[in-house]
Amino acid sequence: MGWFGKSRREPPPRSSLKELSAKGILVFHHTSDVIQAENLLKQAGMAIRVMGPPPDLRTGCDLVIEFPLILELEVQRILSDSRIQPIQTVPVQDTLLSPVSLFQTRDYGDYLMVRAANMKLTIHKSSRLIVNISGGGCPDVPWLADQLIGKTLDDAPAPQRLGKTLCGYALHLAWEEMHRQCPG
Amino acid sequence: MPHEVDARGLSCPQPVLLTLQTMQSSDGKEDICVLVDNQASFENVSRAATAKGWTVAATDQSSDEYRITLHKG
Amino acid sequence: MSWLIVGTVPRKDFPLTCGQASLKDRDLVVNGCVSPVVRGTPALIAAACIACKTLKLEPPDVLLCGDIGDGDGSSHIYRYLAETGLTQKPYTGLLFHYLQPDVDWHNRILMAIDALPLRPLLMADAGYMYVAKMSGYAASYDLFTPDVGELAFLADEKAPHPFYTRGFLLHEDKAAPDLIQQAVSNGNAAGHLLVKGKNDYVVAGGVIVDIVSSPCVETMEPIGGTGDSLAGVAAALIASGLHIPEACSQAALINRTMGLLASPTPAFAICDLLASLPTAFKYAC
Repeated sequence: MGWFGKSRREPPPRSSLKELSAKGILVFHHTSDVIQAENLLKQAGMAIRVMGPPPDLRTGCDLVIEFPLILELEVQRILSDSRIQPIQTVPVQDTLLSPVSLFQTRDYGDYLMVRAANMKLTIHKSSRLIVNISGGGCPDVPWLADQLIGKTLDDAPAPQRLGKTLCGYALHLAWEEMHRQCPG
Repeated sequence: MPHEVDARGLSCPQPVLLTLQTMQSSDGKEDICVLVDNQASFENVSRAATAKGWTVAATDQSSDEYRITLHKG
Repeated sequence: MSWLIVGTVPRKDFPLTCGQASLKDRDLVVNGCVSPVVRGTPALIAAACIACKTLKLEPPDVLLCGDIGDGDGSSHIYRYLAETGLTQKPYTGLLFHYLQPDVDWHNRILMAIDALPLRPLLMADAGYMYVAKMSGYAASYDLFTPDVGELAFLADEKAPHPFYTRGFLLHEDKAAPDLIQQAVSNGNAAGHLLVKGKNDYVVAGGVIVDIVSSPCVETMEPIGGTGDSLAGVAAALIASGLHIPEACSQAALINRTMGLLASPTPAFAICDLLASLPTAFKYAC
């Protein structure tokens, strides 16, 4: 038995281990667990990445956390302290789907729109007021829009703190990019 | 005589935008009175005005309407 | 309109409720439960109600529950539908909208639909369209209304969510015809598609039968809910008796005309545009 008593995949033959980066993947039930785990591990200074799971690993939600295998015990401790349990851990052994990282920006004169994946965030440039959010299909999107629209970029909560789905996460990417393009 | 911004019937964030535009074109000598018809706009207008250095001098709520009096400084 | 529109409201305390929709000022009212029409499923329903009034149809029935992304409200909806909701009335159309994607529940509901004596027309948008594709049963649906990014997701046979759509250059709207063919050949398209974007593509049986490009109101893109209003109008037109391709073409034209009449800035909310929808019907039809 492996991590937290949950199932652990058998590692590939030793000869092919050399070809692997020394990385592992944490699989969770829910996107919100991934986002919480990402926050905790990043706060602890871990070099982790949130990525898409490989096609043959779809037991959990649609995000996995890639982490340095050498830090497995430390990762385990941090998550255990916060009662976040991955359902599976596997060494990296296949091409991962990477999250879309493309941004598209559109200038509407007094307004600026940034798109990340399927989410669009628009601000009034001179006041940096968030004026609109569009796109997405998960239920947290209209709720996030209610929380953000009408607030400035500085006053609005980071979508990552509130969102619970991939759409909310994509909105966070757009929000981060907007901050980068329109610093206060 | 205060400037009046009637933002009733407008969806967020338009009440905030109208208020900001009025503040921008104002010389600050007169108060601005903003009328909105929902709690979210009331909170957002108040917050935005405060961030721009205006004070929420008075608020008045009756049934579905909020009147916010803003004072420069 | 003997349709049922299913979706969520962005308020955790909004109860599970099923009944005929009505509009009061800028609010959606169902069985005394009130939700402001700002975006999302309430915006789709509002557009459908306004369209129904113009078309002299009864407004749709709706099944709603509050869900802010944790999936609880969606679970209530799924359970109700799978257990009893589909047999309450003989609906001729079902439109699924903002719901937390859940493949297992989706499949149970599709089985329940298959067991109905009279199969309703099935339409999906937003989160339910995502899960219809994820489940592998996209072809069981009669109409999807993706935007161009979501079309790329349908075309990508491996992407489990639009967030993971591979290699799609978001600004290349001209890629839409290729993506349509990929989605169709992968079996990840409904019988009809209404692809929303700079050009609105109407697709029937894998063939683009119409492209609606004007009026072109660029400030509609950043406004949340303009795709929802299009879906609501399309549903009402189908309910009025139009064939799906014709309904989609008309809906695209009406939605664009609504935008032209409203002359929005990117700061407008969809409810500001919906005020122009009745007039849009007159100009566009």
